[in-house]
Amino acid sequence: MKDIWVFVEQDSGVFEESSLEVLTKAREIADARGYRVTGVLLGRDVRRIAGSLGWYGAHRVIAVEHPILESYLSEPYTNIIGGLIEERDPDYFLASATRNGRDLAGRLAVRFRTGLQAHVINLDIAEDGSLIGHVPGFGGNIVAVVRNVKGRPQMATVALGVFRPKKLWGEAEVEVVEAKIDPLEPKVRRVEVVRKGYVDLSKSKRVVVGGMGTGGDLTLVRELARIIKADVGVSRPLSDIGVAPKDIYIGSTGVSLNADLAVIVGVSGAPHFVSGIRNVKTVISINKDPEAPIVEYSDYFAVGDLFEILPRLIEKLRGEAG
Amino acid sequence: MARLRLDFEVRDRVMKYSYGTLSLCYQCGVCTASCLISPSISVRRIVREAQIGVATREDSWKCLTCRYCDTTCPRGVRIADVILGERVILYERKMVPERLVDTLWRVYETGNPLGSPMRERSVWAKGLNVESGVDVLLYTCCMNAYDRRLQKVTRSLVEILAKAGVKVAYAWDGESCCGDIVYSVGEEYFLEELAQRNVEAMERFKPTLIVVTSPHMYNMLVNVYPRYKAKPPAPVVHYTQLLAELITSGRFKPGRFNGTVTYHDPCYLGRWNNIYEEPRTVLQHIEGLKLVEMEHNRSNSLCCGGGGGAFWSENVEARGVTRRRLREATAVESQVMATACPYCIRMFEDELKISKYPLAVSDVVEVLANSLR
Amino acid sequence: MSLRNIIVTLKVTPKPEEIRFDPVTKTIDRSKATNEINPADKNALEMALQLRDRYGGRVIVVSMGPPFWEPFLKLAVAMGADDAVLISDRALAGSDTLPTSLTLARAIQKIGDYDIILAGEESSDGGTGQVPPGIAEWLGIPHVTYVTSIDIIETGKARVKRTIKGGYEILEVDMPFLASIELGCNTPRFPDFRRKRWAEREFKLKVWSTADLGLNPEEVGFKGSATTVDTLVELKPPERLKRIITGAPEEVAEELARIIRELLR
Repeated sequence: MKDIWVFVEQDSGVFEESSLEVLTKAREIADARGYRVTGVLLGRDVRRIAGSLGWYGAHRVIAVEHPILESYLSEPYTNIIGGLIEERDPDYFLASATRNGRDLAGRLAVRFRTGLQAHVINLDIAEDGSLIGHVPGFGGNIVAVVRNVKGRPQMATVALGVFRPKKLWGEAEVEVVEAKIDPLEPKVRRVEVVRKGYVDLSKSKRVVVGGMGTGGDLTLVRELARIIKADVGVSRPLSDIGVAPKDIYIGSTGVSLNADLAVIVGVSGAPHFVSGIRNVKTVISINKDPEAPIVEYSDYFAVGDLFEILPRLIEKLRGEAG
Repeated sequence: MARLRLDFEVRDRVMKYSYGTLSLCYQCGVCTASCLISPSISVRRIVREAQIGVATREDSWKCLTCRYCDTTCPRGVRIADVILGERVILYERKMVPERLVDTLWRVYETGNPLGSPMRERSVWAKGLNVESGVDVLLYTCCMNAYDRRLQKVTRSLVEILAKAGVKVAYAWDGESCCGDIVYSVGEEYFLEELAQRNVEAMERFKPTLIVVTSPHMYNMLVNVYPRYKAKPPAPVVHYTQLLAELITSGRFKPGRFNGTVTYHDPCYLGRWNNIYEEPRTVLQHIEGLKLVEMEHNRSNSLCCGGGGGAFWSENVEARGVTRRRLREATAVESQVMATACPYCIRMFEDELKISKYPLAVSDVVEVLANSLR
Repeated sequence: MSLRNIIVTLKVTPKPEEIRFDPVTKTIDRSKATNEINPADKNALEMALQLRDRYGGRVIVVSMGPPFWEPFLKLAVAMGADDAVLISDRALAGSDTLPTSLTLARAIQKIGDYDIILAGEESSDGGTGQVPPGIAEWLGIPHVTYVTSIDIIETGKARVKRTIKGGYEILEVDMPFLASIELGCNTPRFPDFRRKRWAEREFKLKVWSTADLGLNPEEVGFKGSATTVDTLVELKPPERLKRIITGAPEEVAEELARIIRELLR
């Protein structure tokens, strides 16, 4: 029976949501073939939460505990997981394509001289057992269908927000494994961590996006967002001029939205912006320029001055929320 | 008091860039008083520091190079040239605003400061008859080639010239940025290559006349290129000069426009190159058009706020300058403010999106085209 | 405390928005796209040049690619790199990230004397971000990804800033190490055109083949790859309704409010 291992990322006891997405997808693939899904969880005190990963699809979980593993650090994580892979020889190894997931997978793939597919947006296992993935490239317009041809475990990192985590199964069997940390000084040591408030726009269901047409004044954008209970995003130029932080700009180098509704205000619609809204269910745009490129990427395109339209729209929607 | 390090090499170099006028300054301060973006910079201080070769001041980047101070200076100091000379030195010392460095990369990699694909440079001309092998070469500003709003100006120009029996060739293959932004940033070696390459591209057409769409281009080809061993192969005119000639010689008859229009003198056409009358001539020959002057006009004109690289470095302080000019236009109760520079049009229209003065902005060519309908 | 070699891996990529996909032959047409130095690699090179400005050392650029990449390596020299190496060999065609990281690692070993290796976080075409950690693994040195700044704190030790979700972390790393550099974390300096002229006329690039690196044909190219591309599919943007709403602001707002109420139900 084949074994699909899924690296579950955690930080200070909180699971990385996208790891749960991968776990569920792995379980769906496994169920179709009678394979087994094993979660691999490293952390400080994780044995107590390890079992809950079963709800998201893990048959069993290998939990490794050590203070140094509290959050991701390349050396101990790679060495511990590498050691486990060496020992147990799983067939597949998946991770979410977070920064840490890609960091880890990149190194492990070379350690085992095996194939690694990058941030796949679709995943399956072929008749002959090879991993098949859909790998986006060239700014997301072209997808390569890629197959692992040699090496084990067969590896892939999975794009965030593509699959949904589902809580359908039950507690998983937990195996607690002793952490073998190198007694010598690690070559990379954490000195400090700084975290500010974080809004993951890629998870937002509703977003109001402001562009250069607002002139940098996001008051109306924020008010509309408040009224319809949406998050606020910006186009890159607004982030570049310092009006908004880097983590809320939409585009090929920024956030990719997966919202049900996006109201896009004062954005002309350059290619690198629109690649960030391709997965939005309904796109409403407001722009003074009837020939703005964003028309092609909108379901509804309102021609007019956002400074005239938005206040009226806000008044009409006040108290509607929904 | 802080110690100052005098650097006579800096002084000598800036002296050269200012055509020797740097030493004429006697620190009267009229420049600072008349500076359109005062008080965000002190022009007087910049000139003083250049005179004693003190380490250059990064404020030089905020200057719009509008030359307003040049015209008010009682001593004839070529202040804009002092500042451009300083920028060459600041550039060497890598003290350049990031956005301007990004802009240079775009000019180098795609042949235009917008970063638009090189092979789309001729898309604006689709459907128009722009043949090669004719006498008049049209050299468009990158803004006129790529910016959707400004493409309308370029097309109108070609259509009008065609009506006047002037066939233009469009050198899209080989045309690239004239380098005005590179010049504004103080980079000289890439500029030299660019200038020589552009002249070579022009030479292939063997033109008898070169028509440019932007006052900045005019300045580059006529005044700057020769300094970099690149001399345009034919006389260069701004299109308003060509239009004025065609109208006064009877080869083109304007139509009718019933309305009040005021004309904004672009800094690089007016103060930089003394071209004040031709655009007005064009407007005045339109029947029914009432031309009014704003409070500040001709050599006194106010800047649109986009010059000296301000458009590319997104100098938000310059917005006050833009608004000031828009207020002047509404004060004379004109319906249309006509101008003859792509940057001016963009600066004014972008500001109108936010400030909403009751005014329309047009290019002179567009007013002319409208009069024919 | 002066640095020795600071090595930067560099890739030349086509501008993503200019790539055309032929749905019939199912191939990618890069021929009309403008090529550029992979943007994140420019940030890596700028980081290397800044390190050299501050701590001394030599900046050497390493690239695995076809001969037409030469002018781009010379551009890197014009930006300030001291030397450039191009690994060019037909046998490398079809390499996925495994043989690519191996080849680059071998070249880096051949150059030797390295304290810091920098790479762009990912390339704008393939975009895997896997090669930098892979190189570090082949070389057996520590690595840090998504780095935005590097300071040398004492001989053999650096402090780096790494982007994490919602913020950043500061890590101390022993040299030699590899860092992948975050896209846009600095402004790459514009090339010195006088130096560029010299680079084009006089500077000689080192060009190495797989034989020079002691690589066997089975280790590289299609044979050395662990993944293969079965086919390419164009991902068309979703069909949009493109319903235009015009009129006075009051009417437009009314219509929008109606649509939004409907959607929020």
